Amino acid sequence: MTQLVLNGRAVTAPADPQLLLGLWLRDSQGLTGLKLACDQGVCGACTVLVNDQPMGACHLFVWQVEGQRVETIESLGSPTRLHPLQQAFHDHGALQCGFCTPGMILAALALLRVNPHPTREEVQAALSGNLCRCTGYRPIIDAVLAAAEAMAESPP
Amino acid sequence: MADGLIARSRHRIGPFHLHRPSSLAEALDLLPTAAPIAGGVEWVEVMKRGGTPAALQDITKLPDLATIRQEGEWLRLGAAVTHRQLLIDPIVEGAVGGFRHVWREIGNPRIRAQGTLGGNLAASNPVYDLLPVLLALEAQLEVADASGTQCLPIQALAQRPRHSLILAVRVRAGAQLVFDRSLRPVIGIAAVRRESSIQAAIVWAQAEVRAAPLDDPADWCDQLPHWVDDAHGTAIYRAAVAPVLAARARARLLLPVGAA
Ligand SMILES: Cc1cc2nc3c(=O)[nH]c(=O)nc-3n(C[C@H](O)[C@H](O)[C@H](O)COP(=O)(O)OP(=O)(O)OC[C@H]3O[C@@H](n4cnc5c(N)ncnc54)[C@H](O)[C@@H]3O)c2cc1C
Repeated sequence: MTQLVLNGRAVTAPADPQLLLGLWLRDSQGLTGLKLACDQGVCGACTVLVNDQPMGACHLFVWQVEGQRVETIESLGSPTRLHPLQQAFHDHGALQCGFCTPGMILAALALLRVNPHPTREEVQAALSGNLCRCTGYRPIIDAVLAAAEAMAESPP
Repeated sequence: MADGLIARSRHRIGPFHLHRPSSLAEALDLLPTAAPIAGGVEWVEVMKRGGTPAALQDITKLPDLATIRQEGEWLRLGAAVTHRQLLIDPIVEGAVGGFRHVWREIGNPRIRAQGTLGGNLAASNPVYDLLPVLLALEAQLEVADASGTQCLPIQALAQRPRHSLILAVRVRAGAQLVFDRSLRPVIGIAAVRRESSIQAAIVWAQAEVRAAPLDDPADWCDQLPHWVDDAHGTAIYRAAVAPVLAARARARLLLPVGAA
């Protein structure tokens, strides 16, 4: 058995070495916010946070996160009380199809946790591994910068 | 749905046995039947295509494998150190100026947090970036097998003993690196200056990655084996561009420190 902390809860996952984190989160835990899209580590749609670090759940085994803190997009906000990043994405038109959004928001959250006042270039670098195929990157970067300001004023 | 339309993401990985050695002796005993897995980036890709082995061993918990240490004028980079560790540890940038500028472009943040230097080298993929940098740095490779531990020049990577484990890479401090990847994947150059001498390796353009002293760009090109002709570029183009890249890299390295 593999013990880990998933979205703040201690959970146990099967010990099978071949079990990939992305498939387990989606198929067994019902956490379908992350997407298995390119499935080869390029697109970033499967981004989750492991001990605050963005990781690709499509190329990570569950046993590799034993004892660690895993966060998915489902741990942020709720439909009636959006996280400041979610609110900012909404306000800035930073999503269209929404497929890349969970990964974008988690990558941005990881950045803001260590760097609450990033420059535009720092946001760009932090999101450089997350691909968007419809909105384009400008509104996304605008949204992250706006969220940083909002979070500095009233932390979530 | 037709076979070809099934998303890659529905690929399941077959079962395998995972060993978790905690000592080097235990790991070496297992090597003939259980290959190492470090970050697993390469292995996951292989397994998704059906190449699951019967057994693997997680080597990331072996002593000194995931650590970076200064030993006199040498830097010892454990084989299970990730790209991200290389990037954020100030002693790496202190020993090899310019490294951080190059390495923040490798893969993406997630790959950098998972992929290791040992895995990058052992994957022996000619498009990867670590080997040319280490060749230009005249690095050493620390490998262990049943007969003991030895240090080899990095050029001997492909000739390391069968059933051996890469333990670390050793790099002498006091180097300045430039790596021109702007024409990737056609041709690139990694060049290192130590005092007044420069070593440079060309990538993606030659059958073999090899470093040679770069005093005169034309002489340097003469020391390289044959240019590759492939879908990315012709041999004629590569031969023409190489001395230009070499001259630029040399000029950047010879600028006063801090200006590069
Ligand atoms: C999307 C993407 C982008 C990438 N971009 C780049 C790039 O820009 N530049 C670049 O250079 N690379 C790039 N890579 C490759 C990446 O750097 C490597 O996949 C990674 O470093 C491999 O390390 P790992 O620990 O995950 O390997 P693993 O999958 O754990 O192992 C790889 C191989 O090495 C063997 N091995 C591992 N450790 C040892 C050891 N200590 N001793 C002996 N054998 C060992 C394993 O048995 C296996 O055969 C990219 C990869 C992806 C998926």
